[in-house]
Amino acid sequence: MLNSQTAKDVIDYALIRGADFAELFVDKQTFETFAMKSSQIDDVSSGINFGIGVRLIYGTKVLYGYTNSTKKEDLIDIVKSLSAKDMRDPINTMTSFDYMKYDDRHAVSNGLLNNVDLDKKIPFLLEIDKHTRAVSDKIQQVTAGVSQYLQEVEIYNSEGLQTSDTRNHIRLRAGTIAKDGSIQDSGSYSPGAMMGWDYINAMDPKTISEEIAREAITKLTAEACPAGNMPVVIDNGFGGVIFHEACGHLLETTSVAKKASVFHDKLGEMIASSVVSAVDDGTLENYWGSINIDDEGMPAEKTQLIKDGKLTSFMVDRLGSMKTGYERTGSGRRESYKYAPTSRMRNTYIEAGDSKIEDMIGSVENGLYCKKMGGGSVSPGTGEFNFAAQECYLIENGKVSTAVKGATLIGSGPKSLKEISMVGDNLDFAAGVCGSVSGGVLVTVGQPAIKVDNILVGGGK
Amino acid sequence: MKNMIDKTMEIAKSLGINDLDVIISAQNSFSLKAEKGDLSEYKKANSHSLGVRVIVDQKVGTSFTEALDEDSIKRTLESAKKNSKYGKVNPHEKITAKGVDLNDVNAKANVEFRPEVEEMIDKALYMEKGVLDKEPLADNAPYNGVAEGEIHVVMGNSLGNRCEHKSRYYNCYTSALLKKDDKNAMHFHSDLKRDYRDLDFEGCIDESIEVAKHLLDAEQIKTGKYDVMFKTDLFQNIFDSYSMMFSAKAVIDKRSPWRDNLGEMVASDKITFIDNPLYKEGFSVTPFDSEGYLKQENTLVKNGKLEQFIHNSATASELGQENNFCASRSSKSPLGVGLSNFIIKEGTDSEESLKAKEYVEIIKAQGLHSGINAISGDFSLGVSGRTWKNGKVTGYFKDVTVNGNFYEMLKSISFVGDKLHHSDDKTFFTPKIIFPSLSIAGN
Repeated sequence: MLNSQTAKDVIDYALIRGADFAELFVDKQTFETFAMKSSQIDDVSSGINFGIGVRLIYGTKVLYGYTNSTKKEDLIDIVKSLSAKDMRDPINTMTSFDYMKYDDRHAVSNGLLNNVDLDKKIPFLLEIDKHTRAVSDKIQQVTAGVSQYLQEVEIYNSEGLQTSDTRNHIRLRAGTIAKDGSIQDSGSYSPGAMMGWDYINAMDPKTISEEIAREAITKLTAEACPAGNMPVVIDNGFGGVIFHEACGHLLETTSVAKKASVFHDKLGEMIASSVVSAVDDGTLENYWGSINIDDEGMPAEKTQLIKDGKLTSFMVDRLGSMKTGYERTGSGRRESYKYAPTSRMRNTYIEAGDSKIEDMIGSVENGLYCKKMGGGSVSPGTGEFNFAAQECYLIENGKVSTAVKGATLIGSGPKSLKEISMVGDNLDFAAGVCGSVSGGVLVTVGQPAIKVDNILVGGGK
Repeated sequence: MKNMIDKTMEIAKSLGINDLDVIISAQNSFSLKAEKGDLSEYKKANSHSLGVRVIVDQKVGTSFTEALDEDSIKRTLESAKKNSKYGKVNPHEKITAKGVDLNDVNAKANVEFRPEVEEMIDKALYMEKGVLDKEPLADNAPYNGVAEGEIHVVMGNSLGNRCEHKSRYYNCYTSALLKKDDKNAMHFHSDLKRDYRDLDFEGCIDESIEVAKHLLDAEQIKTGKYDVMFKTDLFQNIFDSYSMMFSAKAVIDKRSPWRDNLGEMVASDKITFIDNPLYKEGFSVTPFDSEGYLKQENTLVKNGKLEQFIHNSATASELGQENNFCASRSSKSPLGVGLSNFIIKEGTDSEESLKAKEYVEIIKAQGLHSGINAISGDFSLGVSGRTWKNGKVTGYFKDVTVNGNFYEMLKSISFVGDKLHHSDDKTFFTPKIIFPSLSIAGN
């Protein structure tokens, strides 16, 4: 995409102006989206984003710019403009590029480079519509869409790195609205993977339809959730958002280096209950949050964050490493060329334990069972987090009972991690998009079912 | 950029595309971040994109590109034409706007004064230093910065419409992370203005410190029902999450909770909602909508009665209602609808009379993107705030949740103040409003 001689000339120029480090991130993202609504194809769109991010580092100061142009003079202009205030005598010299192509761990067939015709894809969405409407006459609307992305990146830096990567992603978004009288509610399912059309094609539209319809109809009769502190059992898959929010963000050097994380000085200490072990793993084959290399050109790794409750590692990007002294973990990520990379999560999950979910529920006299979680957020400086339950039920006398709605769980990461008393054996994962300083990046959250002994539940009753 | 619209039209014609519109959008931005007494990020960027919406045989296709050479534009048009083949037949979505040739360089949004880079660097550093100098409990000010942004949009269609708009904005922000013993609290505050000289740097610093300071000693309040008021910026964020209720597109899509309520009471009779793109105090200044029609003021709800939804030409045609020129589309998205400057009209309750009331003011919420269900109206948010009695703050609270149903809440309002207050970004204007008996979960 970018001529390597142009890349070398631009990086040379940055070093001549005294930069300690210079990097070019060449990014082409191709999109195809098609969506169904009201039993008809409603939107078909496509497009290409292309740009080059230029990062210069002076000490630990980051200078960042970007352009849609591949012309050498435009890139030189950016370097000139960025370094105008920091220009000094050269400190480093450029070594020649050593092209490095890492193994592709995530083989993909029928990605956008080898695209399947829309005629063959569209019937899948119409099947979802048909099966969902067949479940109940309370179903008012069915929507479904598939987004496919192809990201091609090239990375050059002043340490002689020249590498490239191709990333295919696909995501289904299926949703329905059920209505009964004046009450309406929704059900949804949004799986994604680092794959091509084969990922969706292997799914059963009827199963998806029944699941989203069941969720929407169940919520129509859900009662207001009782409020207060109580034990909560959070089921597997997207339940992992609790770890993502309550702990994951606090272990990124983006906040650790600023001492804006409550865990910044806790390496080697017990920060969670001893039943909790957690990892951030960019290498899981074809998972939504996986990468071959991070957006700084480092191969992905599996990073053990917590082992038996003890904090064993942070997630570290180049700048975070420079500021903290910790080794990089292949965690430098960004949404696109419009952002400088920062340390971000990939596939982050609590490892499986040996408890059965029936035993967890059976151990609760009065509490809450969260079958499906929504999203959440955290304030890294204080560790205070919140996340919403999308589908949940009361637990009464050790049994799942009434469906309830409007539950939000809030607390602080350090406290809640120590309240986890049981970890299940049913590890599962779910796709999400995490928004932070380097934009929205694709991440997987995951966990087996867990039991949190005491957490504040916000509800309407 | 206007020439590029003409060029795109020419290429479209050569491809047999006769009905289309084109949006070209260019952004320039310059931003600075400070950390530990030095700049941590200096970012300068420019980018552009071109998006086309073509209508072939009553079917719509869209596509976009960030490369603006002739070949890329041609490929984009070809993609849009191909995409249109798979869409539904929609006789309502047409290219209809004509007769507008507008070059809008709004004086308010394009002030001549531009700050020197050195001045912006000084201020970025000061946003951090100000917090640390002013507040002894400040352990850190982790997020600080100043930014300038410029947006240039040109749109045109196959009926000859040509509209152009330029605007500039500035913003500054900081955060105060305070620590006392084993307690900590953080608050982030930002300001957004059209004129750099109007940015309230001190106000940002002071607000960050003040809120964080109060939250440091805040405790939970008791679980129960409370009369609740939301701070203006937070109320704006909550309102935005439910803005689908005004959308004619959501009516067609059977998502709108008000789809069967046109002409009926949907809110308390104390409430009037107005969308006014021409509001002189408002930040939103674009005079044309995304189809190229001139915008107008629309009263959406009057004294509690739903008067109209917000429309583009396609939704108006499909529902048999009047277009009120609220089309919204970026270069990368399909045609939709959107609000501009949103105003909740002032009521008749004197703000002075608040002194006789006891209520809770929520000033900060977490989890707006996850704790709000726009379909059902239910919300459940982690919040912090303060309690008021006899016109005085009686305490601060945190780590509690507030729950309710937004659509029901609008019907049950006990107080609508007689003065308008604006959000920091000046796109949302509201009097003080009290919602009675909302559930708060605390200790």
